[in-house]
Amino acid sequence: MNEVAVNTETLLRNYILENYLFTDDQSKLNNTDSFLDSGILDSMGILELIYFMDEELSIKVLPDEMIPSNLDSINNLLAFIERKNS
Amino acid sequence: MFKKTLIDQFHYICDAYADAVALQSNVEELSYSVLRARVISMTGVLRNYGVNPGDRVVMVVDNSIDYVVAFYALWEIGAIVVAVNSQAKIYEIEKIISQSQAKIMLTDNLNEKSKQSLRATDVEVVALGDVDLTPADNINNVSPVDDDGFQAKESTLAQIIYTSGTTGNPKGVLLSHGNLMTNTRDIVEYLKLTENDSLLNILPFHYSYGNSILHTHLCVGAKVIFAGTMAFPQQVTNDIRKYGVSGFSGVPSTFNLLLTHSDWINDPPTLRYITQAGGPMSRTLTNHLLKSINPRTRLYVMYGQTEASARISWLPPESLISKAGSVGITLEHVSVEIRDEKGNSLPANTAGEVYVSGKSIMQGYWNNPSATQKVLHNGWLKTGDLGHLDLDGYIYLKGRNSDMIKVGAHRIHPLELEEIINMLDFVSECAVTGIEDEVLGQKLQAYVVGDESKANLFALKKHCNEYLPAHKIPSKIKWVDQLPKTASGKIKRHQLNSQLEIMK
Repeated sequence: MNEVAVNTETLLRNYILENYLFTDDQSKLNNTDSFLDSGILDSMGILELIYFMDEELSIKVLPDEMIPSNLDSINNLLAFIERKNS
Repeated sequence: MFKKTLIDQFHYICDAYADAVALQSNVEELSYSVLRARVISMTGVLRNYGVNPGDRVVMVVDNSIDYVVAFYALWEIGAIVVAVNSQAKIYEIEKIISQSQAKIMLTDNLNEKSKQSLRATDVEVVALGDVDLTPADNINNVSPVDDDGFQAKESTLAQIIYTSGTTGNPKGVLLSHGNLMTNTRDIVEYLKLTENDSLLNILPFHYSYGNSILHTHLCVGAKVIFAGTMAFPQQVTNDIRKYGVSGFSGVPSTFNLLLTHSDWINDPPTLRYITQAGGPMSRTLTNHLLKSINPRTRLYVMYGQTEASARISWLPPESLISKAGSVGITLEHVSVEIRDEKGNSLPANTAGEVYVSGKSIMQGYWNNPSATQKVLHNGWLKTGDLGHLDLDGYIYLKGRNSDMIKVGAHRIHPLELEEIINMLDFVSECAVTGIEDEVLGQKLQAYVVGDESKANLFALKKHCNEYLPAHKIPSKIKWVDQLPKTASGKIKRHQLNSQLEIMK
């Protein structure tokens, strides 16, 4: 993984940990955890995540990209961002 | 044709439309005859657990076919359904179990920790996943088993819907079979629902809006399709198109999301009706939605309250422009008056508080005579909503006479949250208010008097997360030195946002 990807991962993980799991304990979030199934995010949380990605990563999520396979876990987000940037 | 209760109506419809699809999920679809077979089979299971007429049974179940089967099975037995938000935390569920004196709880998603916690109460937890009803699917045209001769009357209690209370304890709205049947029938008539309709549902059934959507469609033999979540608006728009449904219902934030985060505008779905309730929708959003839909799609703006079974008024779609900003005229069996602070009736075009009466108004709050006395006066319900009537009898609302905060579809009383936050040692006091939000209408903001630190912020949010579902956790926390108060020491809630911004 290159440096940008590592930074993106850290940024996303910290955003979820601090705002939705209310901790800085990295062990509380696995990169494969489904945000919705595990109750980490609700529908508004997904929307806030999209705003966060726009502001912090300049990633614009288009309506038809708003699907679980793009957004519903850290790994899904990282793969999605990589596809968007490539 | 309508029967006297929704359970009688259910059997009538199951006979009349036995082969029509009643419910469709992404896993299966059920005809009315199979749905009834499962309901009857479920009554056997529930009776084995000792459920009797009049018993309160708490349901913590996501929208699903299981939810509908369990719900109608409880009515078949004559039990009282207490459906609770499936996102509710164990703290809230325990309060409702204890307040409703329920002996049984049906659930589909409790984790081990929650189950252990509930063992400390007297409630018996039944996991719907462990109940196998499928053999019943082979039984065609099952008739209701009425071995104990139970027959619900219009006055029999059918359901308790809990709403956010002012004392931190939720209030259970008591609805009779007559209340629900009357309201359901009125809604069916103005929406002109028939067995040819089908609706894609995204609203939770445990709230009165979702509850009324379920019953209004099942009581005419229509089809209800379970959709995914509003987290993915494009999928909802795609599903509306894919299933070719005739109806769709939402709250203002639903339509905001569909218009801004899906391609709804480019290719508006062909619907017969759209309903909007659950709080005022801005004129801008209403116009935006109206412009985006097919001219043949009828948009129904509606107003209601859980205490009125669900619906109080509806705006005929042809009056959307001429009566813009109005929530419409009352349902057939609802009367409305605008009254002053002393309870005197006011003439048209005079602002006051909205009072309603009729056969769909609740019986009261469960085991809470003082709360009941505050809102029910000689058959009239004091809604807490402020507004006026025009000369044609159209209702215009302007705010609420209470501190209730409306976040998306959720009504939340600040005291409920303040009680939770005040449990923390490092908080000396706090106040929660609603702040404007473009998508949700309002968001929660907590002003906290206490030591500001990152650790305390985490601890506070984590604590909230333990006791409250996601939608009740304040989006913003502001640390302040003190809260503005009246001479008698009461928090000046209405001035919080403006005063504290200046004090900062």
